[in-house]
Amino acid sequence: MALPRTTAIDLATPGESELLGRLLSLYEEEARVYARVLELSRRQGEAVRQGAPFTEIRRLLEQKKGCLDLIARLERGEAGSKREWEARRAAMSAEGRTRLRTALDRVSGLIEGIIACEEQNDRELLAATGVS
Amino acid sequence: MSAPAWVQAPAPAAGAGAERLLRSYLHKTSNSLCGIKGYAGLIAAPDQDTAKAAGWAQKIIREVERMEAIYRSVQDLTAPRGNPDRGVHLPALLDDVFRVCERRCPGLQVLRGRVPAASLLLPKGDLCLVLTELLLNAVEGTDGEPRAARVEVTASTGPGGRLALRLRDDGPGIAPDLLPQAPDPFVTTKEGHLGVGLTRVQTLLEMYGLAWTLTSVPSAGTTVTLEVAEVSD
Repeated sequence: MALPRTTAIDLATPGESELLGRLLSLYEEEARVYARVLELSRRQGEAVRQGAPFTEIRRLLEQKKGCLDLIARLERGEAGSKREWEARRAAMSAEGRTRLRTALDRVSGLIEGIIACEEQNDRELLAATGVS
Repeated sequence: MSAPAWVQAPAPAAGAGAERLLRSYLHKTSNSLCGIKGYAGLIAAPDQDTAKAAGWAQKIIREVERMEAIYRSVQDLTAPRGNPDRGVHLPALLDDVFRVCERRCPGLQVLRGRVPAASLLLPKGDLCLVLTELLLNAVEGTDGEPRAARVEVTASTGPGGRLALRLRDDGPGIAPDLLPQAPDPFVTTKEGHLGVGLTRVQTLLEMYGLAWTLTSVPSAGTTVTLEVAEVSD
């Protein structure tokens, strides 16, 4: 899948701008897909609470699997860029490194949201059905 | 409309417990797997901060531990089942189980009524699993911490000579709106608990076609009645 290009960035190291652009595009796209996984996780929790049929849970699980497969494909597609950045890391500008880390933090936040979604489902159930 | 003072969980359709269990396990593990894969991807991302990578690794370990707890809770249900242990002396077996549970939970007191000799309708190992789950459930407070609990155990013989045990505890009971869901997997009011105890009980009894009921009076206690044996002539 072709990734959209981000706008050019004026950075010190030759080639850094293009490389950073590719990696930022990768993590932007990953963030978009993880946001979809988070939404599916919420719907899945709701379906389980409502005793939805097994086929409905399976459908949501399949959609989540599709998202994870897409992320794996995106990662494979940019494996070379990741290796190149790692090899030239010391020469990269502080601004470029900060922007990359910010993009990764956004992805990290969404993954934490997916994990927290399960805990939130449990908390809601507890609040709704507390023993009197 | 005010809630009834005495409610009973509806009897599930045959095999319903196993399907609910499977559905819930799939649900409960999918987010963990997604998180593990995601965190691993972040650790493998370029130019990672070591402290952050260590934090993500800790989160992976936490999710793996959660999945291990889920795995343990179902592992013994998937083992090959034996035939009912018909030669076992039921009163002696019950005494053994109650003694072990009382030793394990110092706050637990089991008041034993008279139980006649009878032939088990399930393997003794599975009866022990069921009784242990029920007694541990009785002894855990709503905060998940052990509490002092008294459980009365009596026996009665129904139509066809089936012997049912009745376990009545003096705990806080189960809220009426929660009771129908109480045997569902991962339904719990206890912080930090998986909520699979009654699911395990239901799944095991279903395997042997044994009937059980769950009733509760909020603030007064919970009663479980379960068929376990057959009284011989």
